[in-house]
Amino acid sequence: MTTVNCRDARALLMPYLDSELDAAATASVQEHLAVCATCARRFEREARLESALADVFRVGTMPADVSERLDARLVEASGMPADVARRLDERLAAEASGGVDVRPADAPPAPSPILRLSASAWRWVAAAAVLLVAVTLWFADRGAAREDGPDWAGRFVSAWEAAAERRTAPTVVDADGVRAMLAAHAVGQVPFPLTGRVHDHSVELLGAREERFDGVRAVNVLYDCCGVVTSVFVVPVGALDALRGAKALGAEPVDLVVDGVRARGQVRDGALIGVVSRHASGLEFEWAD
Amino acid sequence: MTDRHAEFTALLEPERDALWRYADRVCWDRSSAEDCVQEAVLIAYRKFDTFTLGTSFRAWIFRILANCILNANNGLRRRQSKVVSSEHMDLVEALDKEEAYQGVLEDPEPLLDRVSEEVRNAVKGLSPGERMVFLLRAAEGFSYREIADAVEIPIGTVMSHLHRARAKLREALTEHAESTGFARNQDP
Repeated sequence: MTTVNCRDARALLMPYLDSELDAAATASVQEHLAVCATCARRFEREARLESALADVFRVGTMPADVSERLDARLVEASGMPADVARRLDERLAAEASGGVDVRPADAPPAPSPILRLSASAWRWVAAAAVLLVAVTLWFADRGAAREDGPDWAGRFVSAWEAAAERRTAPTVVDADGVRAMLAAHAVGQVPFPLTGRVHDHSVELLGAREERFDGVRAVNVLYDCCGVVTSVFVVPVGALDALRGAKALGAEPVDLVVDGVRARGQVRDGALIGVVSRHASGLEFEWAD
Repeated sequence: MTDRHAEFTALLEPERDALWRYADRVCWDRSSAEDCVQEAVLIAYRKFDTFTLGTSFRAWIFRILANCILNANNGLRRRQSKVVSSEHMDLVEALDKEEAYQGVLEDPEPLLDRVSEEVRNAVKGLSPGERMVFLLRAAEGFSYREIADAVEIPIGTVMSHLHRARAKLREALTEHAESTGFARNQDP
């Protein structure tokens, strides 16, 4: 290992903070920082400033009108028929005015349901996923106490139908529910598929199953919302110790690759919950770069 | 087509805001930013068959967006890779000697909370290349290699652009701290 002095270390400050140095250079800088309090303090301060600066520039979302025009151009590029495009416009307008589905009751189903998903609808798909998982886990928790009860599946179905009619989606998943789901092996007891409408979106709960990877137990919930089959994964945080390494799982969303597809996860009450926007046939997790 | 469209939409959705932020801050006006984002997304959609699933969609579509921005702004491409004078290369070192900069380093968050708009505007004072590189790194977390691929410049140029951009922003921040007495206010 080559020892660096203060001047050399300063020259490497930004590449070091950007994690762009090779292993040898990184080790040299770290060795210097371990013995030079002045440089260590300077590195820590610059890192803090850089982080605060980055926060300034991470603010900003695509304006709604820009987003809608972009969606319209995508629909146009997809070759969607004009009447379907018109229904899309109506839907966008309906969503903007409160989520009322203005499509006539006798209208034929859209040929490509996914094409009707606007940006806001996609965000809703994620919210729906949270709802489904919350419902599933809550009932798994109750089921753990009565897993041999004769009407457990019936209770689940009734609750699912009731939840599907609700206008607000619960967003809290409790860790006990996750553990109960895993402990009770309840995923095999529900008579999937279950269908319903949530927030004017047709939703079909296809199934849930326990997954294992590297000794970690997780739940993979599959559902179909407006023709898009999506996986929701739930993993107790404690089970992720072996995987997360230096990654600190805080309140901020984390990027993952699940079954080869980039996904976003977030810790809620002791469980990592996330959505993969397509069906994940298995749960092969890794942290995204 | 549905599967392909669904796949594309799903990959695009998490990047929408980042694409907009980037275009909005690199282009000179909102209209140009929207044109560039639309063009980039439509090009990506048409070329989606060439995208390899499992690789970085983010890097891929930002590369297309960077190209659209460069093509839409005459002269940007010419200037973005131009190696300018190194007058700012040692600016960070020079700033070290300034008391106000030490004040900024001491407690940057309160200052940035107050001057975030000014700092965002200061980015406009960067050269096009510096601006593109800095925003990809600071706001979007791209690696040097990903930036080099997106903007199509050598990694060495990425590093020099980044260094100058950071130095200029720190200089602007320090000037602001000095002019508002922020640094002095931090002293007990």
